[in-house]
Amino acid sequence: MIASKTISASILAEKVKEGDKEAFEELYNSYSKALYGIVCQIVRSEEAGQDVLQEVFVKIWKNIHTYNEEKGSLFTWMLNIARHSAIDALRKIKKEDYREIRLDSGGVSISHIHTTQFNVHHIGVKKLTEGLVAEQKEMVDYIYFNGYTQQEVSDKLGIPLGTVKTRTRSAVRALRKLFAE
Amino acid sequence: MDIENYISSGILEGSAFDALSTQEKREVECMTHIYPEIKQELFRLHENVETMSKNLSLDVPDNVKKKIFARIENEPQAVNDSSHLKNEPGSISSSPKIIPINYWKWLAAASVILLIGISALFFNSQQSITQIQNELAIANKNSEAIKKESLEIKDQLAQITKKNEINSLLADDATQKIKMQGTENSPNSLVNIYWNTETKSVLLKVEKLPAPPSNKQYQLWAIVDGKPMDMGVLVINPLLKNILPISVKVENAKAFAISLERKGGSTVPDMTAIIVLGKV
Repeated sequence: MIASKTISASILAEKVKEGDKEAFEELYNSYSKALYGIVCQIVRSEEAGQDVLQEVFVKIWKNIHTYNEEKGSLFTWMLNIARHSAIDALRKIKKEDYREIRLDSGGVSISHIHTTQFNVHHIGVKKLTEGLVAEQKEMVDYIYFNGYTQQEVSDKLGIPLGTVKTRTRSAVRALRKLFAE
Repeated sequence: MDIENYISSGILEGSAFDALSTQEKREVECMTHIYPEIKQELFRLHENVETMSKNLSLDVPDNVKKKIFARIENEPQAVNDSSHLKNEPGSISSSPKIIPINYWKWLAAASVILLIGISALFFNSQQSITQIQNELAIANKNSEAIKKESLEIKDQLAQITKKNEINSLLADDATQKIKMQGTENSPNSLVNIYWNTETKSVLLKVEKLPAPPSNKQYQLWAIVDGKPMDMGVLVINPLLKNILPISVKVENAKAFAISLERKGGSTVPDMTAIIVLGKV
């Protein structure tokens, strides 16, 4: 369980900061699956996900010195790098999609928000789609898998910022119940 | 500060989902720094998200790992500056069309180079203009000098011509010499007239004549048909010294005289002021 590895994670981070490639390999072995899962969930494709994952680990290697354990765990830090890289990649893909759609259908553009149905047979995804109420799932989709800020969700859905915050809160808290061991 | 209220506001969940504005992020950072309870709650929420992520794990194909480790072989770790990633765990560009900072750097650099180029051109052209102006001034000076010289030459030529005229006049058989002797007004004065009766040209040669008072001028008269004819006031030409060609031509003159007149001359001579007089 990753959460129990806090101390060893911080030692690992120190070693990687010193340029230790063995430590980096250990880091890869411990976290690559989880990061890959999130990346693919965001970009909706394993092929694109593999390219993004490469970029993610190169960024981790290069920028490990910016990790500050006072602000969060190593895993959270890496998760956010993975999310940001994947969301940037997704925006590029979307831009190209829109271009193709415009070419094919003469001006009709689709405003699509990715849902967590990339791999519905995946047990984790199944838990997310089935375990969260619609409003909570919407928050996870917009915020976590599409990179919206709470304010942007409020603007997009036309609901008060306070409501967005309440829904985010209940969504994050529901995750604990949902994935409790 | 009501910590419980802050914890239940939803902002920490927003932070755990990385869904806060920059300002909110700073606020949470500050609060977690001050209140250990808030930090503890935030880290617990991080764990929720981590758990979810772990539950979404997928197997990564082996070749991806190989590619990554091949890349980091040639990829040096960034030194401890925050130019790539701030102390934030990465950052999403707020819009896909964000302009890379390097673009602006290049643009700035290009502007500076362009400015230097323009300045150099301007400086060069200023230099050229100054140079041209100097050359023009020199040329002007030169042309002035040439003009002056040519005027002098012209003058000298005129004098030579006059001297030639004088010589030919003096040598001409038709020229007669009339001595004008000083009157009782100036007994020692003597001026000779050379008069060519064919060409009717006149010149005079001053042998002795006192300088006129400053308010007076000598005037030459010819006596024709018993009447005095104005031949002009005498202006001494320093180049010709004492020889003075007279521009007025005269025929049938019976006598010549010089009187002392007011400056500019008179229409009729002052008979009491005749200085020299000579009969033909």
